[in-house]
Amino acid sequence: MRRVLIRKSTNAALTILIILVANFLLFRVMPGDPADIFFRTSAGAKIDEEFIKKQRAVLGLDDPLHIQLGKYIVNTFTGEWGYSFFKQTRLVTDIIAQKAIWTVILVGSSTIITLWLGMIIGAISAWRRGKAFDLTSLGLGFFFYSMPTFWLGMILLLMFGAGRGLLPLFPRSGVSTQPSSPDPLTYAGDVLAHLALPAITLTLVQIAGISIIMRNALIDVLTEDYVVTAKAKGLSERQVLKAHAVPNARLPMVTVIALNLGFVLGGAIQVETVFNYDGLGYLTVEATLSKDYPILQGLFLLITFSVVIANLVSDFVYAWLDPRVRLG
Amino acid sequence: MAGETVRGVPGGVPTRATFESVIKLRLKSLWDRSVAFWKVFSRSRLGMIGFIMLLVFVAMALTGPVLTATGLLQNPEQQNLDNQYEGPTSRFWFGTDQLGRDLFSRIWWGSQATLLIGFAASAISMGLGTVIGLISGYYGRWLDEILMRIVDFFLVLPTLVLILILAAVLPPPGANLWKVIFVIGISLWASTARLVRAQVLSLKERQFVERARAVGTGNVRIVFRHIFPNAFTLVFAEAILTVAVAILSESFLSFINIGPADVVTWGKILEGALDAKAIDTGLVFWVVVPGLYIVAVVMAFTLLGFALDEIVNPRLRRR
Repeated sequence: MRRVLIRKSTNAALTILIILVANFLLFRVMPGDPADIFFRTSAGAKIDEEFIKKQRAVLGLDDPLHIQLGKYIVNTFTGEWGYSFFKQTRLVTDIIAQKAIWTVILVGSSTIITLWLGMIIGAISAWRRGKAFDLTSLGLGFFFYSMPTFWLGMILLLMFGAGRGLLPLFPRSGVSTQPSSPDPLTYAGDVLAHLALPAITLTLVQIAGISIIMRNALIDVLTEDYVVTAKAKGLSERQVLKAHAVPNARLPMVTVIALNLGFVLGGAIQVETVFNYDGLGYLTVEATLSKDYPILQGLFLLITFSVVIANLVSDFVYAWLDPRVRLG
Repeated sequence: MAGETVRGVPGGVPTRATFESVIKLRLKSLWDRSVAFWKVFSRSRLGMIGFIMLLVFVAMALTGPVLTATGLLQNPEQQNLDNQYEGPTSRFWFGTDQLGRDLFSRIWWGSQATLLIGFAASAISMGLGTVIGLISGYYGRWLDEILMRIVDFFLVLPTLVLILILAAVLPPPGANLWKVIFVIGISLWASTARLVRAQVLSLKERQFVERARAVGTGNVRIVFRHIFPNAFTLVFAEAILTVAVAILSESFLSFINIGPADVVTWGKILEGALDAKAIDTGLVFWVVVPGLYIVAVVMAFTLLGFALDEIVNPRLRRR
């Protein structure tokens, strides 16, 4: 067991190294002069000389390539991620830290709801395999799964967005009406109202994946000997499901959450764009459109690191939770 | 091919006559296998639904130019500045956009570029993934280690983030059709590489490969003539599923206005809808219909892909 975990950790470390090199190369060794590409600006936005000098120093663009790479890696770990092209007084790390909170709220809340609902739906589907509930949930799940996330957002706006919606329940855009409010309760309510549509969108596109995995895991578990034993000793179907089958079928979810993270982040980019939700996804699109390379580089690093780490953590948690793996 | 003994034909150096008969034999066996495959496939009801849906979209893509030329379909680029922002009417079935262009014909035409991007991007990713997977699985050792870490890197990255960053960084600064295809294609190959590698690992230990090696067949020939054909069906099923992902990716790129500049796609029509505030003004068709087409085409490819996978993937096979 220990050997497997050591191997997984080494692989994660290697992947992080590749991420660093790729991130370095992507933004620096493009055809043409690196300085030119790095400082190429779209339509007329001017970057002043002072700023270019400062950036050149931070990036060490005048050194040979391998020294640049070394410096880049050191800078990455000491948090020297440079300045934004378009908000030149602002550090990349500051901007990202400020937006990250909203993405954490959005992704966190929708993931929790998805897991909770998905496991319930998956469990009922497995129990009623091939019956109406199972088929309906598979069909609906597949329908939402095939949707462009941003389009689902537009449809929900059409239905529930304030103003012209059919049932104007929720605000259409932004993270809150005002940046802050003297009354924390009103503010929290406002934030929740703004969160509703983005979170629902992100939940709907994810839920099929989770419920199908739960369904299949439970179908597997239901054929295990200990389930037969539980039935044989006279437990009701409900008890068998609750006490014996579901807890074991839940185990693979640990891995699924981590694997799902990449998909959710992609969804978050789309959702945040449609609802002008001021998080990292919105920032990614903004930086892509304005070619704000320092920001993109920082986002790329943060997102890839978190996915690698999440996967590693899930491996450890899984090993710790499952005695067959822990002791094996 | 010349000068070597052709499989299935006795008698050493092939003459022209034997050569022709070999080709006939090969074609016959290809035909027989296709018929056998179709018999199995047509039993999958969901697969057939996907196949028929796909045929409809292909028909739309192919007939667009003809229908427009004969006047049955309006010119998708024809601006009618007296008829901007119209709801559905008898003249414009799905209404018009900000330039008064007919949405019905724009959506009809949209199938062309959307399918092209889906197929081409999937082909790139299938090619790249297959080559990397073959090399990695066949040669193994340190080359495998390096390639698999690179694959891990691509698998770990959220696809959309990678696509956006490549779109921003790669030249030319603007977006054209082939750049979009390339960017999507090289972002999606990693899972194909994994799949092919796993196949190769099991195939290369089989007897027919050992036999080929024993009679002195070179590595490249073994990989492409003996191993690849056996892994192909799985790759094909995966490629069909990848088309769906590619189409979804393209729709978002178009939606944030960095999609292909010179063609109509459904994502681009949706971008126009967002830009023109069609949601606020209640132009429901403009928002709803292009999205439904995307959902339908993604469903078609997903159903088809799952059905194929069920037939060719030994782990899922129920026969």
